[in-house]
Amino acid sequence: MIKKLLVIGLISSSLCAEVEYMGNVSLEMRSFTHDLSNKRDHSVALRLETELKQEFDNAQVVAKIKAIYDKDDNSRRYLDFNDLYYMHSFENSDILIGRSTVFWGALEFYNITDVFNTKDLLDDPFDYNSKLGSWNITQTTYLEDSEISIMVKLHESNQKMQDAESVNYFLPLAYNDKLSSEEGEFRPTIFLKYSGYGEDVQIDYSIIYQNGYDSQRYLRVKDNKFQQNAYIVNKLLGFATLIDGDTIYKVEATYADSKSRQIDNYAQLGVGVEHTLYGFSNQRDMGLLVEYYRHESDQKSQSFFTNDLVLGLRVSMNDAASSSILAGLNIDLDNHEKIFIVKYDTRVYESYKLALSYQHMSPEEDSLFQKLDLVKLEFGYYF
Amino acid sequence: MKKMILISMLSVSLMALSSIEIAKKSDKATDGFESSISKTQMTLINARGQKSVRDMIMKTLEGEDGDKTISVFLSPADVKGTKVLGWEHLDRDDDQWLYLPALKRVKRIASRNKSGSFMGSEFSYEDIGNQNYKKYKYDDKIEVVKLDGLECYKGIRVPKDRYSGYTKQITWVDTKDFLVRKIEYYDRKKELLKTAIFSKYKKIDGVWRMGKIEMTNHQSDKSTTLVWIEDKIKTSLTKRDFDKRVLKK
Repeated sequence: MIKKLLVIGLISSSLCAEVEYMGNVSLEMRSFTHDLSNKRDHSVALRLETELKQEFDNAQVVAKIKAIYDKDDNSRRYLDFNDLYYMHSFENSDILIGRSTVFWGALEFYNITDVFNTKDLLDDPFDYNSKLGSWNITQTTYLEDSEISIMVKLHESNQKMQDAESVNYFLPLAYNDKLSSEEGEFRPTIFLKYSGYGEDVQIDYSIIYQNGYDSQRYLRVKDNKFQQNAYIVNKLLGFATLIDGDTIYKVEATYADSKSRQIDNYAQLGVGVEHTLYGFSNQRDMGLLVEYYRHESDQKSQSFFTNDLVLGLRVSMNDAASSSILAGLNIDLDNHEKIFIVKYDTRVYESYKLALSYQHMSPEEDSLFQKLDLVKLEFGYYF
Repeated sequence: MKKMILISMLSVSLMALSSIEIAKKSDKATDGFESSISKTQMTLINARGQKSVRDMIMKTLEGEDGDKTISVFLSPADVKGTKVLGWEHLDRDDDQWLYLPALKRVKRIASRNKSGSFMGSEFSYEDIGNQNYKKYKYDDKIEVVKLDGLECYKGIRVPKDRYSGYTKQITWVDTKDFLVRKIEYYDRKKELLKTAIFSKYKKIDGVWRMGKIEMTNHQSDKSTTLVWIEDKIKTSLTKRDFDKRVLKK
């Protein structure tokens, strides 16, 4: 009810004032091929994503709405404000209060340092850019060639999942989406972030210290249901991008000192190279990507990207429709599990976008995941 | 006879300028704007005559070492809010960042590629960048020719940047105001690739500002028109308005 009132209020105020807006309404259709019993072989959903922004002299208010209506999955019918914040700018600093999403990282396929927001598994567990906004207060100070941020995340979000008939629900038992946490869901998580760039060398870098709840959570069975558990860490994170001519070098790394008896300390590393062949065929550009991910811990992890190699290809057509093709093959070097994805997207009649993708998963015996082929079509109107 | 002498003297006076001097004067005619805020519209026309429109706001800060620019895309709607920040350097690769609003991601991007298409148009990145005279070597041979009734210096310049998409450019510079009126671009195979016609110049606060560029690609039969809808110069923009911080706002 509160969310509905907020939407009505925002739309009314946007009609009255000079509110900037942008977004899209799209139809998402998915067809699955699998051998799983009691799982749907298709899904259809209507999506709305829109951002409203009101600027004042030295301030702005931003609201970003995401609404999904899935034809079959009742749990996937929701409306959320992942961004709803006030930001005030001073001479050399900003302060942000509210709910917001941020992006941290350098790599293309998966960002191990993108830990500020909880992932939105209800939307799409394989879309790592789909996130839940986090309530926070952030103060950023801008120096000559760098910036320092102090970010206080005020709340840990529950992470809902698609219903049991969805192929994206991969747990063997039922799931209780109420988060269990060591020190309560309102225990703040503090991030100190320093970012800078090179003067003569084309490099951007960030170093982050985190104290509070880890973005990773562990699952425990309680009352015959899986439940997520959040635990406290002291964590160091860093990421950097270096450009040398037509080649981009990327690195992301973390080290977590776990305060939980359930989870050991762990380290993660991701390195990548992207080389672009400009004008390889008329105006078209082709990017070749190689990324490697490593997760080191005394405990066995059942997540992706523990010892994984990703080979990627990106073709930008550089045409009026901004058409592009992105393909990636993820190989787990431990058990040879593979995921292949290819996506084509293009603009149609200026205001519409069409995206078509194919995903193939061929898991091994000890995997949580199942053999699956997915064809997804998205057609959206942008405004 | 007097008339003949006068014409002959005028030619001598015109010819007395070297190609580098013409290039410097041409630069000077459009320099001195300090900073600018422009609203532009780019119309892409394919070989079948179908049109596609892009709108953007470009902010520029004039600098000794090269200009700083930030371009904000307003349309098509799916790229609305996308920003490109560029810091030009005369002695090394430029710094460039791209902001993707849907992901809230700032990406440093490679800038060495100069020949790539800008937003799918017939303009390349080097066409829309600063045309500082120091970026070219000049052929000594200069002709005075007529172009649509205007008397122009016709000369040849060769980009110094080895990553340029062009082997040479033939330029037509107005003899009166030293404004560039036309450029022919020759590709790496030394074949004529594109022609740009520059028009609708207007003087704002004593500085000549371009109003329209029509770029025709002779090899693909596509063309792109870039029109300045609004143009303000000597604005209050400072170096701070071109910091990375502005990308996320």
